Amino acid sequence: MNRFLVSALCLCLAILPAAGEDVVFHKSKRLGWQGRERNVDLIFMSQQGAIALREKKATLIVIPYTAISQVQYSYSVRHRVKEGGQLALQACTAGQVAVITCPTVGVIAAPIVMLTKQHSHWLYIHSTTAGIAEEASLKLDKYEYERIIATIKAHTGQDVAVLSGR
Amino acid sequence: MYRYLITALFAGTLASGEDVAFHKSKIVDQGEFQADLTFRTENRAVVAQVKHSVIAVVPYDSIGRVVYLMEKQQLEIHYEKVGIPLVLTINPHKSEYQAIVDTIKLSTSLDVEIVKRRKDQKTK
Repeated sequence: MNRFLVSALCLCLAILPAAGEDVVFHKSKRLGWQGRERNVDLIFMSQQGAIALREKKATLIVIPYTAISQVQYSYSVRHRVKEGGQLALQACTAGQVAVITCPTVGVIAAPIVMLTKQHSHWLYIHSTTAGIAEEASLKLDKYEYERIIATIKAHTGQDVAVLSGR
Repeated sequence: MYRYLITALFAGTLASGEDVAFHKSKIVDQGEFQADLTFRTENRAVVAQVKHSVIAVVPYDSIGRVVYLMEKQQLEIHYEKVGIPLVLTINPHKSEYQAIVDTIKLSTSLDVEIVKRRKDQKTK
């Protein structure tokens, strides 16, 4: 049943570009040049033959399929140490309530948070415009990254190179 | 007199096939960021770079119009990629503004439109 669903999804992804439909992903984030993450819509435009990154109504980046030289995917895993530390700090500096929150949240919950892992999925699109190399870096959502990779293959015909975790 | 000298200097630089770079201006994109703006003669494109990473490449052929918004003191380069309109907004440094405008004119042969107030802006 599961295999059938995956096959149906891949078939749909292959048919969509032929039908001239745009494919939109809403949960991706663009990495800015100052380390800021910004929510963007990742749009595969079949008619124009381009990938567009759109924030609200403004188009930030357009990458024509023909300009793409390489697409890379990588993932990283890290423990949520910082988040756990912040939780413990907040719980133990909460004033009078700290008597209750510090032993429960600070001592029990915070280490559990620190033990959990965060998986990040990254996509790097290398392209060339007027002979000048450009790179667009995206952080993909965990529920979307597989479909995005399949869509890149279906739309651009480019294979996505998988890099080892950075 | 001084302006003509500057224009002649940039014309000479462009004619010799050398790139013209501006380092004090800023790119406007959810805040302002110090950027290097380079007019590349060989590639026939404007390149905006922030800390060595290319953030926008605008080929001269794709530029539709260049607008200077007096109220905001910003320079907008309107261009197209595969039929999709895009805008590169620059906040030129006061010492570079004239030179950037002259370089745009010389390299793209487009005139810079000067807009005092946008039509879509509400008057208070």
